[in-house]
Amino acid sequence: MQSLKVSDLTLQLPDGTVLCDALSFEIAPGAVLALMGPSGSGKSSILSWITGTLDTRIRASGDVWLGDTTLTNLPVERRCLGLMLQQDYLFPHMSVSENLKFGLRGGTRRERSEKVRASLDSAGLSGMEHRHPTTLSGGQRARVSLLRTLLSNPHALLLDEPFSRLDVNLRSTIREFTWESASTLPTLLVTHDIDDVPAHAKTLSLYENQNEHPENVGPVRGHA
Amino acid sequence: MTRLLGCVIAVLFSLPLLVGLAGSVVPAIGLLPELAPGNGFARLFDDPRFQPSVLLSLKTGLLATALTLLITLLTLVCAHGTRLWRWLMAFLPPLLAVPHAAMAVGLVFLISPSGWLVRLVTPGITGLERPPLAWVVPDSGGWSLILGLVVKEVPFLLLAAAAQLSTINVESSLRIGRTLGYSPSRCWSRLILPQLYARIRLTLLIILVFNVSVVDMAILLGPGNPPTFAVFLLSLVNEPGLRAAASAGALLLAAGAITLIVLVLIIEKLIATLAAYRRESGHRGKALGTLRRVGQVVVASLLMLSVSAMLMLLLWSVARRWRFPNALPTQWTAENWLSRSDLVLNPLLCTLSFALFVVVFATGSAIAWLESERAGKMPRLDWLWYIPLLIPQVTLLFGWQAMALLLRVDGQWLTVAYAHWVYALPYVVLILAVAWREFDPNWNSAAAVLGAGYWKILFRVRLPLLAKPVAQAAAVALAVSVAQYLPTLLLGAGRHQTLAIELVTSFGGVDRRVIATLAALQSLLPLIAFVAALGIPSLRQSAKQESHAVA
Amino acid sequence: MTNISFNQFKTYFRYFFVLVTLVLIAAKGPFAVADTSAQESALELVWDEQLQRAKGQTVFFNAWGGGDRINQYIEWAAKRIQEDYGVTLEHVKVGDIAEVVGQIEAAKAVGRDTDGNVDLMWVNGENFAAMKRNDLIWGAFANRLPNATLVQDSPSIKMDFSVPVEGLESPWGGAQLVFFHDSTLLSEPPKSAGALLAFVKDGGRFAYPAPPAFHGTTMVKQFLYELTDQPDALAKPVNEADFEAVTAPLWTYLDELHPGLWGRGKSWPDSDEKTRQLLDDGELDIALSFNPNEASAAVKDGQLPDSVRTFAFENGTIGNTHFVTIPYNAKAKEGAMVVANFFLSAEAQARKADPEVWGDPSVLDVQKLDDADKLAFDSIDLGPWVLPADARKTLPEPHASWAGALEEAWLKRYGN
Repeated sequence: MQSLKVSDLTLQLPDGTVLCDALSFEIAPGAVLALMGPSGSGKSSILSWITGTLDTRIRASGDVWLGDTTLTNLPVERRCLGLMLQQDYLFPHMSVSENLKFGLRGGTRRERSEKVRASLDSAGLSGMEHRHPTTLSGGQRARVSLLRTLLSNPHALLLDEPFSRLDVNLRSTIREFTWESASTLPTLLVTHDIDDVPAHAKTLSLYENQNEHPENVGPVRGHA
Repeated sequence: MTRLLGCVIAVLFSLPLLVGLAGSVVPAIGLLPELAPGNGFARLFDDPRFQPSVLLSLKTGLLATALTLLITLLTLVCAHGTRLWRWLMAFLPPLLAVPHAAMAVGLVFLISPSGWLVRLVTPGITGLERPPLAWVVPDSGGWSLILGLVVKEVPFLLLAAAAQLSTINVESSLRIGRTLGYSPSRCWSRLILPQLYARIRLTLLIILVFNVSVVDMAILLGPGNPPTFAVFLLSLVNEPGLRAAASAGALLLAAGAITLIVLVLIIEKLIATLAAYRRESGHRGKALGTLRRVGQVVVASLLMLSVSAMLMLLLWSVARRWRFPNALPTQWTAENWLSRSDLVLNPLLCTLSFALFVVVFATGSAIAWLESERAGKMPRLDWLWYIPLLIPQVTLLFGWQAMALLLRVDGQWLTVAYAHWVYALPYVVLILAVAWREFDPNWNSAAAVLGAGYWKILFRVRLPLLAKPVAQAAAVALAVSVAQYLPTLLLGAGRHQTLAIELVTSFGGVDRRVIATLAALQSLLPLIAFVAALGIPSLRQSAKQESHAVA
Repeated sequence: MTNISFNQFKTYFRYFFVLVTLVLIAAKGPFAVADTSAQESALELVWDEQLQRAKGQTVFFNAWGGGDRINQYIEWAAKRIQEDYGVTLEHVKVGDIAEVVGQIEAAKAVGRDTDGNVDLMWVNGENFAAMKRNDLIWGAFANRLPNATLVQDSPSIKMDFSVPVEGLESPWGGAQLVFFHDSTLLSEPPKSAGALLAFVKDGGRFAYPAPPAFHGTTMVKQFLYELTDQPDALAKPVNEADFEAVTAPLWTYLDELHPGLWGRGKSWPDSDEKTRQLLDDGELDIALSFNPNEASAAVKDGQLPDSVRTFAFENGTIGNTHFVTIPYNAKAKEGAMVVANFFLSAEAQARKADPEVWGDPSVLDVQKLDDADKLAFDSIDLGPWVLPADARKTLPEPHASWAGALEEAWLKRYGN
C-alpha cells in the first residue's frame, strides 16, 4: 500500500475567498487524518479536489499523489479512491448484491458472487444478497455502502462526514466497523464531530483564520 | 362546496371520454345504421389503402418514438453538465410551445429540394442551377414525417427527463460511480438511466400514442398516397356512407395503440433484465470520446433545425419574391401581415376566443380540483388525466363527432371549446399538482392563526405564492388550445377557422407566404404566452420590491 | 354515524343535480335551435318577397377554401351582399366538398331536415350527381333567379358532367384544364399526352396531383380522352361501357409515365397550386391549373416569374362549369337564393373574371348585357401570361360516374 500525499494545495472561490493556501499533508497506509472545521471552511472542497469532482468554478492548484504516481490529471474513474458521503447512496434500482457487485472489479461470475457473499458474511449481513436497499436498517445500509466502496479495491479512503446521518446509538458500531475495515488504507476523514475521530488519528484543523498559513502537517504515520 | 366543484369537474372531464369511446364503438359494430350503415370492419379491410397506411403508421410512429428516446438519452449522457446543456434548457421550452403544424411547415421550407438548406449551398458548393431531383418533400417513405415528429418530441421528452433529474441525485450518482472506477457513460447507463426511465415512461408512452395517431403533422409532412392510418381514417369519416368504416378504424387504432404500449412494456422488461445481467459483470468501460461528440452534434443539429424552421416562417412571411436559389428574399413586403384581414385577422380572433376560454376555465378548474384534493374532499385521480393523452385523438373525436351530430350541437362554438378544455386540462392539472402538493402547509396555518378564512388564505396567500406555476400552467393551456386541429375540425363543422385549421387545410393550395404568416402567428401566440408567464410574476415581484424601497 | 353521512350524501347529490341542470341550461343557450317554421313554399315566392325574407339571414356558404384569391373574392361578395340585401354571407372553407355532401347525407339519415349547417355550397360533377341522386338538393331554384336570364346558352351549363342540371344548381364560373411553363427554361412545351411522355422520359420535370384530388382526376380524364379508342363511351354512364377496354391504353401510358415524374410516381403534389409553387421553385417545368387566366394574377402577385406562359393540349383540354346549390335542409334558403343571384350579376361576374381578382371565366352571355356592363367585361386586361384565345378549345367532361370509377382504378394501381 502506498501513502496519499497532497502538496501545495490552494483553493480559491470565484469571489476571491481563499479556502486553503499551500496546504500539504501525507497519510501513510493505515493512518487516518481527520480534517476538521466549521461548515464552509473548505473541508469538503479539499476532499472533492482529491477525488477529482471539484466544482470547476473553484480555482485549484497543487498536486495529489498515491505513492510516486500523481493523480492530479487523471479522470475521476482512474484514481482508485474510495469515497463515502453523508448519505449511503445505495442505488435504489439494484439489490444489495447488485450494489456490491457494482463496486467489485473483475472476476468471473462465480468468483464475484463468492466475494460478495464473503464480504456480507464478514460484515454480519449473511443472506441479505437479494434484499432491496430500502428494506435495510440504517446500520445495515451504512455497512453495505462501505463494503461496496472497499470491494472496488481502493488505494485510499476518503470519508465525508460518513456518520453524521446515522442514529446516535449506531454510530459507535459503524465507526468501529469502518476503522477495522480501513486498517490498511490511508484514510482522510472530513468531519466536524470530534467523536468521529479515532484515537490513532492525526487532526488537521481548519478552525483558525483561513487567510493565515495553516500549520503544515508532516507525514502521518500509521499506528501499527 | 369544494367537493361539489371537484365532482362536477371530474364528471365534465370523464363524460366525453366515455361518450367518445361509445360514439366510436356503436357505429363500428353497426348499431347506428342511420348514421353509419353497413359493416364497418369489412368495408375497411376491403379498402386498398388500409394495409399500406397501417404499415406506414407503424413505421413512422415506432421509428419516431425510438429515435426520440434514443436522442433524448444520448443527449443526457453526452450533454448534461456542459455548456450545450444550458443552451438546450434555455431554447427547448419555447420550441416545445411551437405547435406541431407550424413546425412542420417550417421544416418543409427547410428540407425541400428547393428549400433553404439546399439554397444555402447552391450554387456555391453544389453547382446546381435547378433544385436536385434526388428527393421530394413529403417523401413516400414517411421520413420527413419521422423527422418532424422527432424534432418536436425530443424537446418534450428531454424536458420531462430534465425535470426528473433532480429527483435522482445525478451528481452524487456520477460521483460515487466514478470513484468506483466507472466511466461517465457507464455511470449514466447503469446508474442514472435505469432510475430515470421509470420516471419518464408515461411521457414516452404518450409520445408513442401521439406519434402513431398524429393527424395535422401527418397531413403536412407525411406521404399522401397512401397517407398514414389516422389521416386515411379522417378522409373516410366524412365521406358518404363510410362512417362505420372510419369508426371501425378508430377502434383498431386505439387497440393498436394499447398493443404497442404493451409491447413497449415487454421490450422494456427485456432490456432491464439484460441491463441487470450486464451490470453484474462490473466492467468499468472506457471514456466516451467520439460518441460524446456525436451525441452533442446530433442534438445541436436538431436544435439548429428547429430554430431555422422558425426562421423560415418569419422570412417567408415577409417575402414578396424569393426564388431558388436565393438564400434570402429578393423582394420584401409587410403585406402578408398587414393587408390580409380575412386570412390572418379572422383566424387569429377565432383562435384567441378558444384559447382565452381554455386559459380561464382549464386553469380555474384545475385549481378548483387541486383545492378539493388538498382539502381531502377528492381523491387523487392522476390516472384519469392521462386517459385522453393515451387514447388516440382520432378515436375519441370520431365518437364525439357522432354524438354531436346526434345531439345537433356540431359546429357550435361551445362544443369545440369544451373539447379544447378536455385536452388542455390534463396538462394544467399535472403541472399545478406538483406545485400544490409541494406547497408548505405551514403557510396556511400561519395565515389561519392570524384569523384568515379559507378564501382569504386562497387568494391572499396560496395563489400569490403559487403565481408562477399558475401562470406557466395557463400558458400551457393556451399553447394546447392554439395547437388543436382535429377537435376544431371535426366538432366545428368547418365553421371555426382557427389558425390551426387554416394552416392545415390551406397548406396544399394557398400561397406559401400566407401559409408562413399563419404558421408564424400560430407559433408566436404560445411563445408570447410563455414569455408573459415567465415575466409577469417576476415583474410583479420587482414592482412590489420597488414600491417597498420607495416607501 | 351512517345516518349523517347518508344525509351529507343526499345534500351533495342535490347540489350536484342542480349544478348539472344549470350547466345544461347554460349550455343550451349557445346551442339554441332556430325556429323550425320552414318555408318550403319559398320556391314559389315572387322575388321581392324573397328579398324581404332574406334580410337579416346568415348564409353559410360551404366552398373550397384552398384558393387565396377565391377566398378574397368571396369576402368582397359578402361585403356587397351585406350592403345591398342585408344578408350575411359566411364562407365555410372546406378542403373537399365531398365531405360536405357526406355531412348532408348523414344529417338526412338522422332526420335533421330543417336547420342544416349548410345553406349554399359550391359543387359540380360527381358531387352534384350524388346530391341529385340522393335528393339532397332543395329544388329547381336556379331557374327562378332574376339573373338566370343573362346566362350563356351552353351545353356544359345545361349538363353538368353529362347529368342534366334542371335548375337544381346555379352556374357560377367556367374552367378549363391548362398548363403553365417558364418560357425561359422551356420554350416549346409538350402539347399532347404523347409529347408529354417523351418530354418526361427526356428528363423533363412534371407531376400531377394524385386522384382523388380534383385536379389529379381531371388530368387522368384528359389522358383518357386522348388515348382511348372509344371516346364516345365517356359521355355515357360508366356501367354502360366496357371499362377495362376503354381504359386499357390509359394504364399502359401511366405505367410508362410515372417513373419519370417528380416524386417518381410515389410522392404526389397535393394540389394544382402546389404544382404552381413547385414551378416557381424550379422543381417542376410544367404546372397545371383549372383556371386559364390564373397566371396573370400570379405574376402580378409575385408568385410566378414574368416569363411564365399558359398552354393547353392541341386537341383541346377538359372544360366544365362550376355551380352553387342549396341543400334540402338549408336554414336560410331565401338568403342563399339572394347570394346565388348576386353571384350571377354582371358586377360580380365581371369582377370574378378580372385576373387581378380571380380570373374565373364568366358564365354570362355578354351579348345579353347592357352597354355599361359590357364595358366592364371589355376593360379586363388579361396580359400575355394567360391562355391564348385560339387555344381555348374545350373537351366535355366525361359522365359524372366516370370520376369515381377512374379514381378507384387509379388508387388500386398506384395507391401504394
